[in-house]
Parts: sequence; structure tokens; C-alpha cells
Amino acid sequence: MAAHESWYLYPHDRALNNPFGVTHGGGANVAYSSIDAAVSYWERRYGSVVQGATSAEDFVQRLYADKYNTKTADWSARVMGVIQSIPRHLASWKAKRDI
Amino acid sequence: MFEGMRRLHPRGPASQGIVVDSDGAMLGPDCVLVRRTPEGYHALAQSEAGVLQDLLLGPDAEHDWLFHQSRRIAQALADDHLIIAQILGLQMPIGELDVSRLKRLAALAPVLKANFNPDQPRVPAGSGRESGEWNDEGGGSALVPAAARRTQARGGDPDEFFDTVYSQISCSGAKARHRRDLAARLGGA
Repeated sequence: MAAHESWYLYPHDRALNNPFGVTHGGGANVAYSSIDAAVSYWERRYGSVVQGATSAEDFVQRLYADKYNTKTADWSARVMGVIQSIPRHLASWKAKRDI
Repeated sequence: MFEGMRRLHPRGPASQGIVVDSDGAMLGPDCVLVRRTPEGYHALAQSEAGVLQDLLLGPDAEHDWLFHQSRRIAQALADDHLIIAQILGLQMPIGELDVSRLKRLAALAPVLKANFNPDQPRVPAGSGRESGEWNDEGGGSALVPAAARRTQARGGDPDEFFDTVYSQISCSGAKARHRRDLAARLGGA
């Protein structure tokens, strides 16, 4: 989810400590004091929405139903595409870091 | 005949463009490019300059141009060459800042301020903010995600992303525990 919304912490989002692309009501992006602070906000706001999700599709659909993104028509498909690409990127990262 | 010419703006809340004076350089009222400190003039950090450049100059601009130009301005001011610094400011291909860009710069300003030397004064004239103040950290009711998300033409580095979220190899103790906790909270292993 964070990989999609921040495009793998694109420098703009990294500078704002904003991995979820949270905006001020669809306007300017929010700046957090730390990524941890951003995660805490997201947990408070959406934790109950996604709690108990049984799959990545279920996770995304719950957010979609909660109007997480009303602007992008194919948002759900885009998020799923990134989620499905994570194992490949993660494997590559682990190999580079000898993990 | 002068309508299309670039011009410098006076420092202050009404500024809608580039400011270069003996106190430093700014974009609009909020965004500091070069700051005067007791130890000299400091340009903003490379990464933050990159963010600003993406916002203002677009993808076709020379890599790190704004960063290097800010440093050139800082050097000229340090050498007491205000006129040269102002000419360097006028070389920036940025005209009058419209309301949209001023708002985006204002949103970025706290981040940019935070990345100057924290031991130095952090409040630019006309910012209207306290030193080091951040935007709302999520407590406000108006915070909603992605309803009008910008189009992003390119992404960050997945490896750096995973370093941030998962990395446990370069830290230990409390920091490692924090990283593991963060990874778990973001949905990682």
C-alpha cells in the first residue's frame, strides 16, 4: 500500500515522511514528523477498516469502499499491481543486502 | 515591454516570486533557498532542492540545477556580492508564482526548514510559523488520502524503500526493534 501511494517513497513523499500519500482534503500533501507518525495516523484512521481482511484483494476493496481514493478510476487495480510486484522487488532487495 | 521580464520580489508575505537580499534567497513568502546564519549563508540540502526543482522546473531541467544555483547564490552573498547573487536569482526560470504553486511551496516549507542546520534559526521572515513547526500530523479532521492525488511520472527506489521499512542490518538495539515494529505495522514480515 505504501509502495503504491508513495511510489516507493518518491523523494517528495520521503521528504514529507508521508508513505501513504495523505493529503489535506485532496489538496496539499501532509508532512509528518516521522514515518512512524504517518503510520500511527493511518492506523487510527484506517486500522478498523482493514482489520480482518482475508486477502490483498479484500484489503484493497475495503479501502476502496471507504472512498480511500475517489479520483483514480482504476485505483484498486493499480494498488493490486504494486502489491503483486512486491515479492519480486523484495527478493531483489534481500539478495542485494545478503539477507 | 517589461511585462515578460523576470523580476525579484521584496521579502514578505506578499512575495510571489524569487527574493534575493542580504538575508538570503526565498521563493515566495515561505520557501527558503538560502538562509543567513551567524556562521554564514546556507543553501538548502540537495534532496530538498530536488523536490523543489521537480515542483517548479519540471523533469526537463538539468539534474540538481536548483541545488547548485542556490549554492552559487549563497557563495555570492558570502562574498558580499549582492548584485551577482540577484543576477543568479534572476537566472532561475521561475516567473510569478500562482496561488497553486504558492500553496504547494507553503506545504513544503516546514520540511525544507527542518533540513537546514537545526542549530540555526529556522523561521523565515513572513512564514507565520514557529521554528521547526510541522504540518498537521494527522490529528485534524480534514486529513483524507488521495482524493486528488497528483500524477507521478516516476517513482522512488524500491531498495531504498525497503531499507527504510525493513532494514535491520545497519542498526541494532532500540533502532532495530523500531524498524521491525514499523515493518510489521506496514504489513511486512
